Amino acid sequence: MPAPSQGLNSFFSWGYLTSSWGELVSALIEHIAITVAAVALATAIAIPLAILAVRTRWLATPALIVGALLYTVPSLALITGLWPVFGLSATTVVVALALYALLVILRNTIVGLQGMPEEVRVAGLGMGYSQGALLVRVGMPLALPAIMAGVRLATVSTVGLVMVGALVGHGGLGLIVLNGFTNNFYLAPIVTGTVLAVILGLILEWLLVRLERRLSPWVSR
Amino acid sequence: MTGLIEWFGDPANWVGANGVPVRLGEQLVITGAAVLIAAVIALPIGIFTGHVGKWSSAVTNVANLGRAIPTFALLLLLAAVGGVGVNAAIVALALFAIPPILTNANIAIVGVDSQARLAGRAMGFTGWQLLLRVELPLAMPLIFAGLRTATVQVTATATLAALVGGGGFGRYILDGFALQNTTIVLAGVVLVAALTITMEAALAFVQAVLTSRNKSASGHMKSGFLRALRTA
Amino acid sequence: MAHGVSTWHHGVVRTRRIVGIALCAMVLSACSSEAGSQDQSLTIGAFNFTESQILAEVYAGALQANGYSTSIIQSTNREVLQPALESGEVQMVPEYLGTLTEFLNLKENGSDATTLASGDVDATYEQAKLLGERVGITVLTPSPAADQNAFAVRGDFARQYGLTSLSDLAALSNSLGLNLGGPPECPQRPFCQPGLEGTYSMKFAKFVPLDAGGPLTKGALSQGVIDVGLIFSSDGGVASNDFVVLVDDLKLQQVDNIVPAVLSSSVTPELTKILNAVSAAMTTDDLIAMNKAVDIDRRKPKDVAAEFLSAKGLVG
Repeated sequence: MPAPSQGLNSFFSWGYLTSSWGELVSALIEHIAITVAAVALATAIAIPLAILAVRTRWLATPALIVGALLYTVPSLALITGLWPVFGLSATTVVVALALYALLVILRNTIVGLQGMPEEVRVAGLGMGYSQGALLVRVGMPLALPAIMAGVRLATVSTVGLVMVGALVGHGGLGLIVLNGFTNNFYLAPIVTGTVLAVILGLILEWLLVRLERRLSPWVSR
Repeated sequence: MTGLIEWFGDPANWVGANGVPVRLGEQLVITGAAVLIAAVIALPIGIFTGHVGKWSSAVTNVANLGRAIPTFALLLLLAAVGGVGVNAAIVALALFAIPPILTNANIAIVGVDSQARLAGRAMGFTGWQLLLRVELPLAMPLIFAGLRTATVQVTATATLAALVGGGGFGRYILDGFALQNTTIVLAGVVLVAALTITMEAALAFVQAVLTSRNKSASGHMKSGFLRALRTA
Repeated sequence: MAHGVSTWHHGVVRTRRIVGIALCAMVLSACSSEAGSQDQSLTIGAFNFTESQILAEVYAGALQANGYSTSIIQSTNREVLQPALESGEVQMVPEYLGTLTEFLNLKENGSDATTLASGDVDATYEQAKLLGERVGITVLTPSPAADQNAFAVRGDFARQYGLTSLSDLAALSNSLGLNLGGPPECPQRPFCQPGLEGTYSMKFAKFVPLDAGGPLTKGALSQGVIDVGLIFSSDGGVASNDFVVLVDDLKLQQVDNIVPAVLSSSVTPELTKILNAVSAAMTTDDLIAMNKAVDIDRRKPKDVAAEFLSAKGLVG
């Protein structure tokens, strides 16, 4: 298939790697910062919201529906849609991605909390825990596997979505990829940026698995 | 808000290469082709590995790896190599759709009640018969849930196709952003959301039809449909 | 259970610390991207095509050599960067004279405004200055280097139909359905689709939104997805793609000399001097050479910019 003349253009180039090392590292750092900030923000909102939702019962369904609706908004739209509010800044991307991560973590936390075995609930109430304390001090640890599964899923998909932030100038590795693309389909940055993002996603997932094990040593594996 | 209603009321937005029907067609073609390709690849592999019982961890690892591949970057890469247009989008989205379909198919078959399998063996079923007459029917709900998840996710992500000249509703979002016209962006968002919700409901309906035919004590189709919807 | 809960508690404390650090990182990165109105720092905005990135690096390099700290933010196009400039989110954008003038003109006077840009650089510059002033932007001295919008067709297409000028293409468009490709804003830009349809009475079967003279448009042109595409007159790869740029015989395109547009509140005599020196030293041939170095020879915009600056004696 005819393509525009592309000059030197192989999938991988040591020359590119060695000369762009600095750029790649700072793009990687921005990428990590945005991912962590977005997931942290989502978790910080989702967990209290989930506890509240399970506590008050009627809140659970509307919360999940709003989250699901948010999920149907394409990342492209959410990021460009928040641009008028937060401008060409990393905040735009962080807030947009946090909204996506919110649904996943919220849903998993609610399911995890609701899955508390009846015997445990009765025992807890019998021991004098209030409803709220029961959820926080007993329900949360029990729901940890479900919550962490949600955080892991949210993190890996956020790593991919950060790239779309390139459209507002803050896409971590996404800007490397996009610039490669607009600079006459320069493949080396496109491939390098993609590979680094995949590796980052896998490393973060592995870290979160380790974190889950540390946080819940009572779970048999 | 009123601008949005006006936009949908303007007949000019419903005709021509940039009209809603054409863009809808493009969105459906991209989504359909991607999910179809993904299903053709992932279903046999997921079902087979589940049936045979080995390689499940390999399957999980491959699926995890697939989930970690950023669709945005993959799309740009494919377009740079293979040319602009719909094809790059379809391939990228097919790869994106494989993990959920693969994982669910594998887990579904593996999770089939071992009693049912034993009963089948006792009745003298061969491997193939076991697969077709016991495992698949019982695994169908979960397999289908995987297809639903994949379809819904692809529908929303297919908006990226516009970045490489692939058309679809993403065109409204990109063009609206480029022209700084929020109404057009919102129109695109509403259209994608509406399409996603419609597809989710349609597939839940199909799932209810398929599963109500197989027994189920409370197998009333309507409650099955509602149940399927709630297990989004 | 008690042991488990205290470990969990510990884990929560660690998690909270991670969250805290992450939020700090987020705030810090958000802060650093708004360079603000400090004396010796400037945020430059760039459009998402090669030449704009090169120009941003060229001006940034000259400023850095004079003690400024610069950062470059990249986004899509004028519709996004112009508001960012007016609000101070970026303080400088390397612009194109004629297109900027008309953009500001239409924004101020509506879509039926009379065209203020023309083929005369000085007259257009005067208009640009006035329009810019009214929105808090200072338009500096235009460079001799210019990059016009140009329309190209495939070589074999041009040879088949004997096309050399846009008028030839217009005549052809009456009998043959033509697909036009360009950036999404093309149907709205007076020198793009409306200009072709108005000045040349050209007819198009359809418009395909792609990018601004970038690889999407060039790829679509090579592939036959479009028949005529918007490219830039300073594009480094026209010959190697066997494209034929059609002559603008009716002078639709206005003068698009490179010109820095600066947030008025950031302007100082020193800044003006540095930026104008760079503009004055640039020629169209320089642009073409730099574009080619990045797009074809795969060199980095920063390196190409640095080379240009030292060759012209603007640094060190």
